Amino acid sequence: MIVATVILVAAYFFIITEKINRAIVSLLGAGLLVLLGVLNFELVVQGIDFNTIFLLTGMMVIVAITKESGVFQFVAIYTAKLVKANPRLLLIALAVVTALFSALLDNVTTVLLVVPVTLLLTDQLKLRAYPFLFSQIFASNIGGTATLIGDPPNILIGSAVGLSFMDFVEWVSPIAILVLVVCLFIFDFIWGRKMTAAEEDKQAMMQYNAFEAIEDKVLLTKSLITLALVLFGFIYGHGQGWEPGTIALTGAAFLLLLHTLGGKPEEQSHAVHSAFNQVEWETIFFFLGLFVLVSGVEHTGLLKIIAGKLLGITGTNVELAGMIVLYASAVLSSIVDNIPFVATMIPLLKAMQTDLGGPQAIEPLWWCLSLGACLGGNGTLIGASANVMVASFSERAGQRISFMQFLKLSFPLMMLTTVISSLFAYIVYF
Amino acid sequence: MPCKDAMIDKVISLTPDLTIEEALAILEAERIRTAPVLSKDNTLLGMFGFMSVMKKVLPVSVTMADGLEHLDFARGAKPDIANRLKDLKAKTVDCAMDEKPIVLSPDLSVWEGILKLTKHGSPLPVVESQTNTFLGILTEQSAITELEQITSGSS
Repeated sequence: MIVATVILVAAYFFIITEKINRAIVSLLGAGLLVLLGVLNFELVVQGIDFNTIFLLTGMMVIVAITKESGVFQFVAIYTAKLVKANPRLLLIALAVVTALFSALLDNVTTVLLVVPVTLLLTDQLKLRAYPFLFSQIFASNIGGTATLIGDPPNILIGSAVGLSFMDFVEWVSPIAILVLVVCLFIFDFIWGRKMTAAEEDKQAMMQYNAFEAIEDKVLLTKSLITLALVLFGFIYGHGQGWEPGTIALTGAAFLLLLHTLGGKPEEQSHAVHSAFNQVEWETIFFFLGLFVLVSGVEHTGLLKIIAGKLLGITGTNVELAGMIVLYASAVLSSIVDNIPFVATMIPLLKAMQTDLGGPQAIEPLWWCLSLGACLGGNGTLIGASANVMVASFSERAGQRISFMQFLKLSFPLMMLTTVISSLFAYIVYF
Repeated sequence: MPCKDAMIDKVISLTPDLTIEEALAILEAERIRTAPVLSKDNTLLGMFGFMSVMKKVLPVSVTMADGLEHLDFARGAKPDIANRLKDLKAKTVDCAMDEKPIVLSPDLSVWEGILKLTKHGSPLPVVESQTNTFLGILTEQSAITELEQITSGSS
């Protein structure tokens, strides 16, 4: 147990401090657990949640191909024209678009697609980009909270506990929408209502032709068909025992087939290679290593000991446990990577479930964990990968976002969203 | 054969304090596309050319890494781009020059020099590695001329 604990603590230290790349840390830690005899190879394979790995990889391939069609830029520009290039409405509209994208795509991909368009639009309207980027960070994390596939913590929770796409839609989406609406009012009050743009700049933007942003109409059709089938699979498949990972990876293969059909062998190979190249392998390998690390600690019984200590605090009070999970995960996720946190919390909560009344009784705890871990990412500029990506874009565009400037508004706002979530949880879940 | 044998050492250069309008006039008058920007002690500060200006008139959302790849939807942006060029002309060369150009060392083989020309375009500055002192430029023409002289010499 001591070996596994030391390795896990060291791994977490390096992941949190970001001194060494997180994928390297997790793989090295996993390798040490096996080499030092804590786990054997069979336990390693059992410890890896392949459903999560397949779901992440499959969705990354689908998004990589779909984005080539230009559909995401089309939606952003079309929305900007829909609000007549009015800056106040644009601030709200782009945040809503970000949240919608983020509910279906991972957050980093979402901001990679939306932020360059935002910088172009704010440049055209001669507006400061910061309010738009701030609101999009919040929208991407809130949107990601709303669905099973929106944010990795949800994928982890859904897969480990067997919660379906529709379970998330039913139990988490409403609170995500409520929290988004509250944030949009606040953004409008702070920035939106004071925003103005010159008439000639607005007219220039109104001349944009959103349909020109679509680069490949045939690919767009194929991608939308695939996305619709995959979503149908997520909704319908749970009852059939289809894992989301299977659906996503089969969907990816189906879209690759449609994308390459009729092409020469070398063209097919190039297209497949290009799509696979865009999979974030760093994230995938990080997950693989992390699953093994957590499995090692679980196997040694350490998590059961921690679960016992936690039960000493909460007793059999599920409401109290839920509030502790929600607030602790929100605050911790605003400082550290929420993925290892959630990956550790899952077996921990499972170890507590018998004392708290069984799987049914602790279901609210999973929603609390999801809400805390996903919304907590808004707390600081390093709270989520998407935040770091937006900050990097902003810096490249010559508009640096400072950590403290962001923190002054982000942390209180994140805490407000957590308080709203806890009230919602208290009324609806318990 | 090293790059220093194939480079041109007498080149038109610019200083960082020239206005972009003045620099563009020099490039046009000398019928060249790009010129090195040098300090008083002949250190290479960057490269400036028509391409540098074109990059600057585009929105930063396009020119930055991972930025937009297409702008075909941005109709009606023509007056805006024209205004950007007008504003840019009043600024100095150091605002638009490429501050981290690909450089060649004088002892680099011409094969490697030609490979870099095909990858990064022409011309490429040749500088002393330690001091960054400007020595000359390797261009498509200067490389080919040098190769032709070798074959004509050997035959």
